[in-house]
Amino acid sequence: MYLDGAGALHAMGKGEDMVISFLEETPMVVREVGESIIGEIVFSIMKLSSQTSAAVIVLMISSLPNVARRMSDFDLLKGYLRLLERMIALAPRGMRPMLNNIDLLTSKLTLGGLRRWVLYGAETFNRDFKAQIAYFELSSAESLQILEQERRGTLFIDNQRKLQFYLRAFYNRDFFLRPTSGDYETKKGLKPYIEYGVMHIPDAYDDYKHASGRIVPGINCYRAVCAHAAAHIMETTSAFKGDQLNPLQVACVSLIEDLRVELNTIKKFPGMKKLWIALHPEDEDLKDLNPFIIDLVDLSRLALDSKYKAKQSFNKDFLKLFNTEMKVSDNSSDISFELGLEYYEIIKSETDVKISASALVAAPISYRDDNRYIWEYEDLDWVSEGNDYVPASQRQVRRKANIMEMYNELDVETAGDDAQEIWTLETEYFPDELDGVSINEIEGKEPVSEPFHYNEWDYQLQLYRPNWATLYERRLRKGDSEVINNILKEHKPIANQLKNAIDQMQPQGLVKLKKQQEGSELDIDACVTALSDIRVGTTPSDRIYVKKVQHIRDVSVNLLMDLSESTNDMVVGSEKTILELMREATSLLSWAIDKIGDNLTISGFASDSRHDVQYYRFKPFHFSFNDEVKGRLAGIKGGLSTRMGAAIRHAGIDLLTQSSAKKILLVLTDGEPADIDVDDPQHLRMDAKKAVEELRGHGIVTFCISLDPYADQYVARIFGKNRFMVIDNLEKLPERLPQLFISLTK
Amino acid sequence: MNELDQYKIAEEPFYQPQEDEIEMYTAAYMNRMPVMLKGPTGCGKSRFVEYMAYKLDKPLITVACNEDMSASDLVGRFLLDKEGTIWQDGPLAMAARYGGICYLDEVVEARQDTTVVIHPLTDYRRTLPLDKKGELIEAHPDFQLVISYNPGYQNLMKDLKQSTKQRFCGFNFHYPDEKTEAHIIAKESGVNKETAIKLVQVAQRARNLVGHGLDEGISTRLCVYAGQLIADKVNQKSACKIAMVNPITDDLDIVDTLNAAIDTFFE
Repeated sequence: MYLDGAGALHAMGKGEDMVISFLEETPMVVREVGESIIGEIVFSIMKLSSQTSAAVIVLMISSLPNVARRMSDFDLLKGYLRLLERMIALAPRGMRPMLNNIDLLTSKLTLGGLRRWVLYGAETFNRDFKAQIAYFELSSAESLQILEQERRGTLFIDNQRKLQFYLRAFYNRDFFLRPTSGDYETKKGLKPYIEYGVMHIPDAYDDYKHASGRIVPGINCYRAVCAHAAAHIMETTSAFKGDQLNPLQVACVSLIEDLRVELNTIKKFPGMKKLWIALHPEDEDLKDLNPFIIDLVDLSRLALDSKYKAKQSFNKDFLKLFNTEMKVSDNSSDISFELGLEYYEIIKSETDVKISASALVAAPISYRDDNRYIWEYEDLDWVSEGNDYVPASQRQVRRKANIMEMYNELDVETAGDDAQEIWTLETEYFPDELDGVSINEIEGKEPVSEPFHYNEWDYQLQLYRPNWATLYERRLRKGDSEVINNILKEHKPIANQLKNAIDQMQPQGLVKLKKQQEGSELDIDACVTALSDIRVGTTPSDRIYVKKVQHIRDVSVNLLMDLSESTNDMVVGSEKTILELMREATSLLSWAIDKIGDNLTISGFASDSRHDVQYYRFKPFHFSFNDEVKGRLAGIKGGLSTRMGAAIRHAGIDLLTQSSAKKILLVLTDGEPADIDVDDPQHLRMDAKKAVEELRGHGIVTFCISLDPYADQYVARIFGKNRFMVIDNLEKLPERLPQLFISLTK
Repeated sequence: MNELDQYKIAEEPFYQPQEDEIEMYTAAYMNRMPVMLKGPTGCGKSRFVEYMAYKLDKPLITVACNEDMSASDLVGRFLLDKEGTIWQDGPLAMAARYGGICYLDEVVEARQDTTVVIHPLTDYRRTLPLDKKGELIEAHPDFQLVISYNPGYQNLMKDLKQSTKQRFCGFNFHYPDEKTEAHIIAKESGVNKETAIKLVQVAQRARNLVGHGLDEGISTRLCVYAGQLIADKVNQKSACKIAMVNPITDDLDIVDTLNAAIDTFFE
């Protein structure tokens, strides 16, 4: 996709800089929001290029990674691109100064705020170029004033982690939160909503100011929103069919369901109602609203706040009815539908309802979502996204056949590794037509193991997809062990350094420490001194024991190498590929560990969609670093993708076969988890994170060594804050990897 | 028994049973069976042992185990004074000799070469060899050994060997259910039942975060501390923050979450 985009840009003939910048910056954007953004970026660049210079476009492209990081959402970033397109038509002179300030702007504004700030400047100074430039440079007082106006106090992205913890603390499960780009204001803007079980939360909130002067801090607004949305996810049990209802009936039913889920939550956590009551409009806030809306708010306040006095007596009566029904059955959405319709009839008969559809949209209770969730509720089903779960009955059959069956059976010539049935003959098969040569010699590939199936974590549903990934253990063709011997010779100086470090690490068995305060035996020399001290009349020392200390190492390590396609890239500023560097580092490490005597296994992985995760063993446990192992290491190749979670789980099982006290999994990778059949960059990252947690539950420590200089953020999220190391200078890898190992296993 | 008089429990400690552990322990003691108590920190293991020692009217010698503990710390050593060397019994030897209950708390912290010292005492032999002294102590008929540890996942690196574990019968402890825990907190700290229930609710929020940011949840003990402060008229929210939130984590986002939880339950 990158190449297609670059090709298209190149064809515009606006110079190399644009193409180069595109290729350099876009991968980082993709890392944040997914590959589908590439097309959007190319499209935007094309639109902009007719209205501005290549230099400005390069500036725009280099702004994208940071903007993507702040927005961290595909739709929001698309919105940003649309904004740029609009701005270039209205105020082309302002583009360059604005892009120079873009980091500052996105740190203070959400997309909505940025949009308003930009459009104000673009529309006001449409003709006045000097003023336009001053505005977008942020050197005019007016531009700073508008900036302050559009600033929002509490940004979602700064509080996301807190909100995740908050929800987990109360509900004991994870919820998925994403930002939406409406700025929420009381009377206009986007509301929070729930879709496919994911909560979409406005990307910024101001403190909520009541007309009376009472203020609710932004973070509490967020908590109220999340708590209400979580209440829906936990309590709403079925969808409502809205086809036959008029908008007023829909509003009533929605309100009753909102109240039902909130009241159920309050039963468990009584204090939650404080959050929600604080965000209900007070009397002064309701002044200019339609009476229908006011009546609904009246009911809502009455239901939640025991201290509130209802304005309408029919609300008081209805609440009694509602509470009675709730006592009978509070855990089904069905009662909300019936009661909602009943409420509508009551309000129609008691008051004169006159309200337009647009006024209905005004939602004074700001923390409640738009309720599309209850009107479009669907049974969550991971089959629905086109990811097909293949039931066991359709999985591949493998069996061993005898020579007569092989001779008589016809095989399907086009069937490969994905065949429905695979027969294996234990001996070699010499067909007549091949003249004494076996089929194995001609067509044989390295044997593949039986498939291993692993669950994969779906972070949006908070459930495992059962047996989603299929892993096969394979063998690569052996290379020449001399390659490894040469590596060891080439790095002799590092090897010597390691040798010294190793000597300090080697288990010395029992070591005697003299003159100890405590120990298992008497230190005779010290005793003699002590006794003579007693005779002389001075206080004897109490350090008269000999302590025997055991120096033992009880460590097993699995070094798991990422062998994906990207390892074939050249290391910047060197003649070697990443793969070659990995090989050097692993050789040195294996040699070092062999000398120490620890238990090491070396493995590798790559993946070709979830149906084919490939796992390679180069050195099993308890093998010394001999020529056969060296040969296998020499033969490593890079290709395909990185489905890390399944590989981590399989590597963990390997480690569990060992009995040592300390078990460590070292993952050596040059990029983040990704696979060709997965669009959402978050999915495999979250699955890898889950795999690391599973291994921790079994006592295995996972540590990541990343060769990707931009790795910090996602690697920290997957492996944990102190469980990774990013190596910028790859030349140092052969030296640092063994050093890291030594410090990890001391 | 004079030597062990100082270890006798003077007053009945308050203990709220969770299941039938009192009866089971009494039965175990009748057979002088060694007992293992497993559970998270601060959930009542040590209190339970104290209570049983009081009920059975036996002296209780407690040893807090740590990684630097050697076998001599348990068994005894020679000390030097102006007359020469004298032998000093360790807590284990004392309990074995004079018939007390020896309680090794957090035994998994000790090195494994130290814990094997207890093996001869915990099988049919019931003897403790003092190699340096050349003496073989036959355990007093009243002697019993009790150990405790926290089997949380972070302790997977350190575990007892099977040959040690299988000498004990095991009791599982956990934080009690809400009502019981509130009752315990109310009794221990002096707060009323309503406040105690709120403290338990806050603790449960933290327990939901175990493995997702916290290593251990808030223990009953910390709830009692908070309760004691509240009973002394300290501001309720501050008491919770000092006693329950600040000790368990340094992660600012988690601190914020737990403070929000406190705000949810307390005014």
